[in-house]
Amino acid sequence: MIRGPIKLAITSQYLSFALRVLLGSSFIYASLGKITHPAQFAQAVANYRIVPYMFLNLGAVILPWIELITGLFLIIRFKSHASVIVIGLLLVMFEVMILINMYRGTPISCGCFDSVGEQIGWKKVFEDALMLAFVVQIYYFDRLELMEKLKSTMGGGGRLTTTGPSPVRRGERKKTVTR
Amino acid sequence: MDIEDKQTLLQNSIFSDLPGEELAELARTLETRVAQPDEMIFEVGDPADAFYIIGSGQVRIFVKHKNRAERELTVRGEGEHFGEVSLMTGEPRTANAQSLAETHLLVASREQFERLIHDYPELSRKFVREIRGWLLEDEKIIEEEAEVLIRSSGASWFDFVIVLGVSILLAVAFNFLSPNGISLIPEQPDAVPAISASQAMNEYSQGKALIVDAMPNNFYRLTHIKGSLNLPPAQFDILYMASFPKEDKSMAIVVYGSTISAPYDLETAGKLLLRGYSNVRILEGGLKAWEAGGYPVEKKVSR
Repeated sequence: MIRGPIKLAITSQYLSFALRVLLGSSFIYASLGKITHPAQFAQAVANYRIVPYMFLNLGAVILPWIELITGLFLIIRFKSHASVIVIGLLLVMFEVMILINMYRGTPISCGCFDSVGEQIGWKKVFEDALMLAFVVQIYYFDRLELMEKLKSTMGGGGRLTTTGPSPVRRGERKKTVTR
Repeated sequence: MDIEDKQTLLQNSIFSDLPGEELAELARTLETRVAQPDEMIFEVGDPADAFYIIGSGQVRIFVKHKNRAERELTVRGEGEHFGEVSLMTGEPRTANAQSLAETHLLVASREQFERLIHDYPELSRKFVREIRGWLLEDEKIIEEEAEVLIRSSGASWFDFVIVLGVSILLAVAFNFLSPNGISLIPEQPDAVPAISASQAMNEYSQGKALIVDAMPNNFYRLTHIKGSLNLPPAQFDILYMASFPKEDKSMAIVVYGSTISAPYDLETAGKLLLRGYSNVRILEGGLKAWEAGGYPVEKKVSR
């Protein structure tokens, strides 16, 4: 089992914050070159030999914008839950595409951060997996917002007026709910 | 309130299980109090000195928060009681009690309350049960609130629609406006006559046909038809200028190399036709058909 302090660090919402900024900015950075040079990016995607010709350009135009928007939303915390799920799905898709081509044995460039860029390989697989781990952490532990909301709800302010008197201190039971 | 009324009231209160003579005794000894509308009966921090049973009227129990917001805990009516928690815990009042209308109260002093608790242990069990009821109800409310919050913090389908919708809209608009924009649906290159692998092999072995590999260079280096020339459409102009034989525009040229993602062969063939080459054909089945026929290919020696 994971021991106390390490578990605390891994599940920390501050780590979530750091990872959110890191992951978000990576995605924004990765998207910029592709957005400005869609033709090169389309070629990089074509190298993977997975996306059918009919959808190649459409994908090459839209995908970078999804990266940009989800990255941005993740950082500014607007629809960040949906964004982190989309980012996770993209990463899984990238991972599968990379692994398929590693299996095929073609030395193609990743097209991950720029159109020329590094070749696919175990390093890229690892990078992707690491970012996926970030996604999981953010998905489960980025609850700062929720904590604040719970605090304000449980703390008072007329939302709990409907039933039930409670002369007992509420502070003590807050924890049992937000745990 | 006369004694008989008091006794009837006590019989219908939390003291209902007490023996008749005790009730009669209480009816005689308990004091009465009349609270005017909006009168504070006790406030938070007051010493706990009495227990109240409501004869008529209504009493509101509430707490005030630091930010001055009030939270109503309950409203008590006829036959109900309040004020026991502090008496039982021995602590000062933890909530405020305010009458809502003119309210008639039966008041048991601390000493009377403690004697009753002492003499009738079942009574304190009743109080505890009542308090536990509040706790359970509170717990339920908190759980419901938390669930609502947790649900609202999750992603709904609408969020995905927003995220993807904004992306797609911006992508299409930017691509439309950008000088580097590309056509969203690629135009199919013009058809080029085809040649079967065996026929191509025939011409190839007689040295009549030039084989052109249109795949990107990294694929070409991996494996290609022996003696073929690499001429991917993306680098067509440079490679054409640098190394393509230009003397005989009527020479037989066989182009191959296409994937699910790109018809490289058709693109390169189209470019050759534009340059004036008249005898350009596409290898039917590509490299696969060629290899299946057992014809010569060159593979990269692994590094």
